[in-house]
Amino acid sequence: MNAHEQIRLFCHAKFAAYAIFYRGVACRSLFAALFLGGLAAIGSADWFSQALRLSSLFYPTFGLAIDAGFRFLVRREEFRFYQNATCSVVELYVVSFVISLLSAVPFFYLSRLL
Amino acid sequence: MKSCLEADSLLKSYGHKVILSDVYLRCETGELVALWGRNRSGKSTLFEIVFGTVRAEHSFVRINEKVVTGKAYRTGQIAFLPQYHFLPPDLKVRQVLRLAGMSHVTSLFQGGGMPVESERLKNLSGGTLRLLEILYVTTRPVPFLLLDEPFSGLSPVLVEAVSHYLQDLSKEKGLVVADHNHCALCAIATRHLLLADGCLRSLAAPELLKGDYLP
Repeated sequence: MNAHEQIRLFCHAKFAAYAIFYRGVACRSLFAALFLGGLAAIGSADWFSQALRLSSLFYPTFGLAIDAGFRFLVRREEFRFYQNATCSVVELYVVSFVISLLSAVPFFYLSRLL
Repeated sequence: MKSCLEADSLLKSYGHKVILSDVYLRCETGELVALWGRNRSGKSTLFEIVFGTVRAEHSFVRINEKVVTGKAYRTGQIAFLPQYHFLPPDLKVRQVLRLAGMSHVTSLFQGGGMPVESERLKNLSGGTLRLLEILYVTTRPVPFLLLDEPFSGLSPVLVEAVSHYLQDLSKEKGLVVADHNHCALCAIATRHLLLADGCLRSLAAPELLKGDYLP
């Protein structure tokens, strides 16, 4: 295997690992954020926009924390999969936080327009 | 050109029990090192320390004479197959095969048990999952592989297929393999190491395992 092919495989494995990790994060975080946001908005005059605003705030924060708690408690051994793709746990969560933040911003502004 | 992995002065203890005491491990590309040891002798801990996922009281890892200051897995020079299942259960077989760089059935699955590509990993049997894990780890573009109990859960036919596969692989990579399948590993190993009482000893021949490891 030449150096170019090796770098290509290395990058492919790394980005694939990010994608696979974030897919799991997104499912759990979204569910947690919507649930918590909906719960926290109970009693407000405009429940929907308030719930959307809070959910977009909770998605990259509490959502990510809940996912981390779940993985560390239940699926700790899964990290070896990502480590074999040269991704550390901190790196995975930093990347996930950035993607979550970027994807939550449009929903935050949308809630202010509603 | 040959590459060389060295782990030196490894020291690890749990409470008062010393697991690894000044251990030195060396592996070059082109060799398949068998790591023997009784249960709880510290083989898995040794692998985890070299890979960089367990912190030792003292450890010194070098790859090609270059000291690894952080976690070794970050260098992209080493891959590790743990003894437990580690692939995300929500993944599909197809995704693992794609990550392994093989979209077709490999020689590993000729002994049977090739899973349906659309199947999720959580629905697979232990042996089939082990095969996919072996496939995933061994196709990483790295010169060194640490394999912890690769034969566990495999049928004799698959053990033979995996043995041949690892033997072929060892021509270009450096493999350190720990497994309790004595016959299969002895047949393919080029060098033997015994981990006992926290110390790693080199054995001239596998017959010397009698007493310390074999009955």
